[in-house]
Amino acid sequence: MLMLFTGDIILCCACEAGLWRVRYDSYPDPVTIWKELIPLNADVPTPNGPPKDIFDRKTFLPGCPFCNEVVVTATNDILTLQRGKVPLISPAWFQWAI
Amino acid sequence: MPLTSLGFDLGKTGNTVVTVIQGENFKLRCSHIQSLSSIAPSQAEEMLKLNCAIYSPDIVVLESNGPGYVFIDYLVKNSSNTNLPIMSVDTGNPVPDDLELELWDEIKLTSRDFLNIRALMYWITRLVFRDKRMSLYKEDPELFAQLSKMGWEFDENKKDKIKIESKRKMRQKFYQSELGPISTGRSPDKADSFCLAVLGYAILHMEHAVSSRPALPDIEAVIEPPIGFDGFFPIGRAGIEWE
Repeated sequence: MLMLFTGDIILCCACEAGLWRVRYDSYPDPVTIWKELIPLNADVPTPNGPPKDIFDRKTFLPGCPFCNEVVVTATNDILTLQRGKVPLISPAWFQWAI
Repeated sequence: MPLTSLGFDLGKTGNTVVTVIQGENFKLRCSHIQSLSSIAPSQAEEMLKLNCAIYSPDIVVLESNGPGYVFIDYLVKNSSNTNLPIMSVDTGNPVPDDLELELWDEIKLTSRDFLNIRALMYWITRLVFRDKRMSLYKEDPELFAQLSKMGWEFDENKKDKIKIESKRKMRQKFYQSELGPISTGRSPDKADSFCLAVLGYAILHMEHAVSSRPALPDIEAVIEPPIGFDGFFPIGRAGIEWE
């Protein structure tokens, strides 16, 4: 199983941008991985408003604070996402353009 | 050689948007975006001419679907300016069969990947943002919202072809979303104009790549226009369709 260490940066598979940093060392699974991650780039505006505090999303499956509707899941050694939910253009990419 | 492309979109919601993109070797800069709350042909023409006078574009890409068709007809019948390098594109048309667009780092797009020209132009835009090849002269929340809310999928019938969400679905999405006043109930006119400008640059890039190839010594040098693109037409004559 994939081991995540404190300080690791997770690339959201949908955004392809480094958005999350691992808070504690963990063996992620689809249910708990999001509890161990904190969003990066919290000051970058998104179309959905400020990135949501990931801890306010306890009732939802883990989703990227930028993509919002994208579901990120952890399998044995990779992070995958639901096909067809990938945004065409990630809001995170705009920070490079301005 | 720096190239300038101008995307011009007239939306069904009554907005005209012009986008100017300049660049070299696919390192692009969006220099200007202007919106007008009207699709009256005379006002749109004024806006077009003004931007052409300022930026001297190498190409102006107009969408010939919807209100764009009316505007092109107006230009053909009424315009006195015969030198604007306008190309009309029906974005619902399939991509020309033999298209091969080489971008950067050996990224190559072909007609096999896309359901239509709309999908192609949005995909090129995706790649220039993803690979940090686009810079913007200012932050534009409305443009960002429209571009990033755009969805895509593989076509149900042709599984291997990329398809972009329809404008109708986009309008519904904006209407239902909580994006706030910047996008509520609007169609993605800014995003369309932006992507038309990117498409225009890609066409110029193709044309430039073809014309800069060294001529073979034993064969008469013939510079072919880019695939699916027959050249510019002066306003006052029939517009070409990219098909």
